[in-house]
Amino acid sequence: MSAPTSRTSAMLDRVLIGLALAIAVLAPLVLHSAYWLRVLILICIFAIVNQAWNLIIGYAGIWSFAQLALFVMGGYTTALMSLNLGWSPWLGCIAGAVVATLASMVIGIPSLRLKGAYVFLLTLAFHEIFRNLFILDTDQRFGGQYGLQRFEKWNFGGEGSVEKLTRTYYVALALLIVASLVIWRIIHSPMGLAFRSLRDSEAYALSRGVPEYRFKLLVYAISAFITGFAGAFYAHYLGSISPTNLDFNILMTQMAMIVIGGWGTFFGPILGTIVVKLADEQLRDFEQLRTLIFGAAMVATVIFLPKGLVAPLAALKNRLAAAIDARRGDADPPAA
Amino acid sequence: MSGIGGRPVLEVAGLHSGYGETEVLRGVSLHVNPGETIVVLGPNGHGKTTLLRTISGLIRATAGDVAFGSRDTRGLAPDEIAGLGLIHVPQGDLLYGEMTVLENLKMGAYRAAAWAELGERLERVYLLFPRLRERQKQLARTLSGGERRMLSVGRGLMGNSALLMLDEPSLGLAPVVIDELYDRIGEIRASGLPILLVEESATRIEGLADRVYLLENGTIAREGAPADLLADPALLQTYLGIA
Amino acid sequence: MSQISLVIYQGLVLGAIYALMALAFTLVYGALRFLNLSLGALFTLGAYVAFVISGQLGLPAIAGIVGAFVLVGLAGVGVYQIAVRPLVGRPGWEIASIISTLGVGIVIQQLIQLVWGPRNQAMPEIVSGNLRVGDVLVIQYQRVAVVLVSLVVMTALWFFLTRSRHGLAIRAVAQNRDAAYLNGASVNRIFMLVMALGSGLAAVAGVLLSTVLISLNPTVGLSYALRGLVVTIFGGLGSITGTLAAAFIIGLFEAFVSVYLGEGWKLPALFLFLIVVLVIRPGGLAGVSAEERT
Repeated sequence: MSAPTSRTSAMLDRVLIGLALAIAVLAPLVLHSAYWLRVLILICIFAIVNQAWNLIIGYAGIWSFAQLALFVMGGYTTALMSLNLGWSPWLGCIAGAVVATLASMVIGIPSLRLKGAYVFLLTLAFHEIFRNLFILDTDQRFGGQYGLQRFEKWNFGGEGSVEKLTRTYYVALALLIVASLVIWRIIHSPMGLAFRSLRDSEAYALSRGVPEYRFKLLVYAISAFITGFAGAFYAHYLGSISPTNLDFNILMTQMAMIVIGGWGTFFGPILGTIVVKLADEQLRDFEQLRTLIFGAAMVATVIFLPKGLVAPLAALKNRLAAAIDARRGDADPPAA
Repeated sequence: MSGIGGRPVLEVAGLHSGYGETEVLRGVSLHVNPGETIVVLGPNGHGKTTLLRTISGLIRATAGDVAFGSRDTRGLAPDEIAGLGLIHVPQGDLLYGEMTVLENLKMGAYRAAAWAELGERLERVYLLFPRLRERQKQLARTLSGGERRMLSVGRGLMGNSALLMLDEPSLGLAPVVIDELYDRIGEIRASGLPILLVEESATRIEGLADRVYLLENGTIAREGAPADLLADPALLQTYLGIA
Repeated sequence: MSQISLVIYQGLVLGAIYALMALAFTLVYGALRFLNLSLGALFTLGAYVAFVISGQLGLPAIAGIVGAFVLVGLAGVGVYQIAVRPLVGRPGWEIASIISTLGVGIVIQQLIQLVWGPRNQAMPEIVSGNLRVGDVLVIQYQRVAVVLVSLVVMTALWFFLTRSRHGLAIRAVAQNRDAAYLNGASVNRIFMLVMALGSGLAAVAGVLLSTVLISLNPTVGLSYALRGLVVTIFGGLGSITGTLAAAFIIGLFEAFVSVYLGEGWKLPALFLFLIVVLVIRPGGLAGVSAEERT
């Protein structure tokens, strides 16, 4: 995808990533309020969900729209474990991840051999059915429309809400970093390479004998595991989980994040999550307009910036690298 | 015999074209005079199909000129070029498999001017290929190879044609069927419609072609009367398979 | 016995509506090879247009249906120009067009909400009165009218696609784009026509559904778009006859589940049904060939 990068460009990459990490680590010192910490925590959690989604939709060509369903499924699993069996939150997170993975296989095994449109439909149907399951839950096994509440919230120690939230933020940030590393490894593994060649030229990749179906199932499972885990973490952060998390508007906001950030790019989903979440906070008072704006922004991005906001930033970085190279070239005597 | 009618119907000059990075045509120039039947001979993969697809606008030329009558067709969309009367009968027929023979023929007369005379045009094609009339209610995908080729040519003739381009009409057909088809092409020629035909084999061009071009490696290697070219033993070996 | 007649009655009404919705998806998919997700919102828009024409202006129902078809058809051309045309032919365009039409759909739905508010509106009946048959089945003339309108629209569509010049061209473009070009058809204009036709059909489906539900709200399109998609894929993407059969099969299936198992089971049952179908017959009813599926 990226052009052969010069050594300068690779060095710049490292500097920028280091800078971003430093900002992320130091952010709570500046944004030292419960409000901002909550925003930051949600950014971390949604960034994980979006990274996992981008892995399948942007890289593996699996048009799955069951992402929120898998997310919420992780949340409900841990909530039920916590309420009924008294499991600890971390154990619940694992359980949530496993259940989401199993669900992804139920969807994936019949559909991943088929055309993208089928996967899209089956996963969207899955989402809708899952939502209905809770809304029509008449015997209140899952708490009906209100969902499940009053189960254990995260407690990483600390005094006062700001301190508590700061610690939760660092845990969420650590999870985001771990999830991103895992996804980075997958994208740069031989399998990831195969997927990219499949995405860029299906005929070529098939002629090279890429066993598409198995790879797709595997990546879908990994993505679902991460997503389910994030869902469970989210549930314990809020101390509640409800079907409103499956609202169509939320699915669309999530979609807007990866599209606007740049789907099929590694940093796009993170950037998109930050941008859209911050915009979302600014537009809080305009409930009606907010979805409209995200919808319009999504269309505009797909048409004018197919690689999302990451693309102009990457171009800027490349120009910077070229400028540095040029200056060095002036200093060093030409090689030939 | 040929070239008396003034300016050429089709004039191609210095045409470059290809797929993506790969350049297939490297400066092809040729022309078709009114009433002429021109055959472009060339081995497979040397640009015959690319030439026709570029002339009809399915592929954008990277350089060069194509003039059809008095019109410069560079930059025109394929449907506009077809509307001018430059009819391309593509390789592999490209029939509408799930439509009937009649519907395929009707699509050939899609442009408003041709559609207005649908009945007469249909009658003319049926006269040329009576088999198509018998098969008119059948789906195109159920036809035999020879019938498919006839339908493909017939569909081209349904249009408002001022020049007919045929891409390897003999491809994949049994010799008997090829003979019959070439008889029909002879009849089309006799009606005065100029023809630009590309073929890999020179077997059936004598008596049909007014002039022949040899297309090799994306350029015109030779041009001449069929008799001259067929007198060259080296060419005979390449295009007729005679040792 | 009477239960069965109820299933058939409800199934036919649902099938008649689903058929129009699914034909909208199928026509567009057939010609352009993408799922036009703005159709859900255009379905809703159609219902609101008819609501204004028939409910608020008091014009006859037929004016509402025709108005919805025409106005929403024009909106469909707008969607094509804004969100589809710039993407045609780009690498990865199938998923890009899904996302962009989904985005446009959201914008349309939000605009509907801004104009008419989020609450339910009452949709006027086309025809009133009913006929009691036996002790369970009550046939509402309203619903008979819905089925009739749907049949008339489908018949008209059939004639258009098989007899008219542009109808033929729509099918031709769907089967072989290059050939259509060489026959002199402007593929771009055919795409526009297909988008208009598909959007118009979705609009009529929206009008018919809201007259059956006797109400409408801005989000009604979503779940019916989903059903339309289920039908489309079950019928075999791009196949018109397959789609029609699938619409009535799924309509009957849904009616069967809701009569015998209860409303809540409709979607889960439909989902399971679709999974089973896709495993047994991955090409859908029309059984598209293997290379088509991948």
